Amino acid sequence: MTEVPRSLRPPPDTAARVEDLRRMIGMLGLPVAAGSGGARRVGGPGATAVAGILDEIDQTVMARRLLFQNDRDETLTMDVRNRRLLRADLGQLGQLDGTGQCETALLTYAGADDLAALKAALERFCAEGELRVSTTPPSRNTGLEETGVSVGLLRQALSHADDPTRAVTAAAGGQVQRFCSDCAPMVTAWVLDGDGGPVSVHGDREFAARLADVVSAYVEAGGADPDEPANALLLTSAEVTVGTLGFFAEHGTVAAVAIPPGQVDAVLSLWTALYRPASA
Amino acid sequence: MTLMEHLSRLHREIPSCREVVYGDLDSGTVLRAVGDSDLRQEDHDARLSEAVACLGPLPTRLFGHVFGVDASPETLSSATLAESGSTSVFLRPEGASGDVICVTVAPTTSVADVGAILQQTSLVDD
Repeated sequence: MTEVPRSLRPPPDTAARVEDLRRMIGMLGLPVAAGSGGARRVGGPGATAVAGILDEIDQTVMARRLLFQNDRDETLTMDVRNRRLLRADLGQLGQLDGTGQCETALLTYAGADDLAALKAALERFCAEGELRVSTTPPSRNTGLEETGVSVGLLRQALSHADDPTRAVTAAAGGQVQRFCSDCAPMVTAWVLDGDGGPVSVHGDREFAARLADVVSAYVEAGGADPDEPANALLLTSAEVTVGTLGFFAEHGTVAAVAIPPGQVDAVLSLWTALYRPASA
Repeated sequence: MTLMEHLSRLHREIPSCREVVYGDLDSGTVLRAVGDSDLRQEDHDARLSEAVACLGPLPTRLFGHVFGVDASPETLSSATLAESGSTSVFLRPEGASGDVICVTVAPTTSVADVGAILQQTSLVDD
């Protein structure tokens, strides 16, 4: 009887995803709660309002712009697509910290600083009263490389930021993205987010399409368990002119990376530099 | 040099080496193993099972798809599995189809160093 390694175990139970889908279908059937100016009530204050914002993102497939307004007539604009937050325009909220640095946050790589700034702004925005939301078409086209942040990562970051374990988890998927960005000059990579959402692509897009196929197969085989810490699997042929195929995963986010001959050590060094300090 | 002497030498010379297992991929059988004193036969069996999975049909098929090469059982010559607590290198020795050497080291050990020692030792003994 052989034991399958953790990186290749069967996929985890999908019951939670099915339950999410049922909940979303149920919400589609609910009557719209009309507020002033045609806007819908989101709820609030505090955590209820934040949860309402996250639900709006969670229910978004086609690109749209969400305009939130609180009882103080402050506004918050979010560009969302495919259950991901692409851009948050914090408006006057960004000026409240006195620096003016976070007026607009482009959330492509889910950096810990971006998430912390967003959390602080949302706490101020949702502190009192109820929120209302209205929807408009997206005001601009977004590129494939503009991946944004998944709603799953946002829920972790905004709900559990005070829990150090959760904070590490929230930043983890971004670390895989960062790793691939660092490797980009050397490799072709396809990164699949832990929520199964859109991807980021590095290098030749035509070649990367092959990586898209294999990363899906790898995830289906259980190679990207959300509960697993960082792991990497590198596959090499005896034929020296053929490259190395690598799978780099952490907490459900997985990257398939095609590494040219002679670059494996450099790529692995970048990976270990990111993860070894935390795991040693 | 006997196979056990060969494995003992690898265990001694590779930095922070935890175990060296020699096994048969087809049957999933450990033929010989050398490791730290706290490791048991079950640990060696588990390591070989990882080698079977990492060099098995699914990874081979994925590799063949990406690089456009035939996905035969001998397509993959080696696999490296890096986890938080350890790194394992699974290498098919040249001329020994179906066999595999599994080397497990501390996560801080350079995989390039492991590969170099494996190759060097193999060349000397051949």
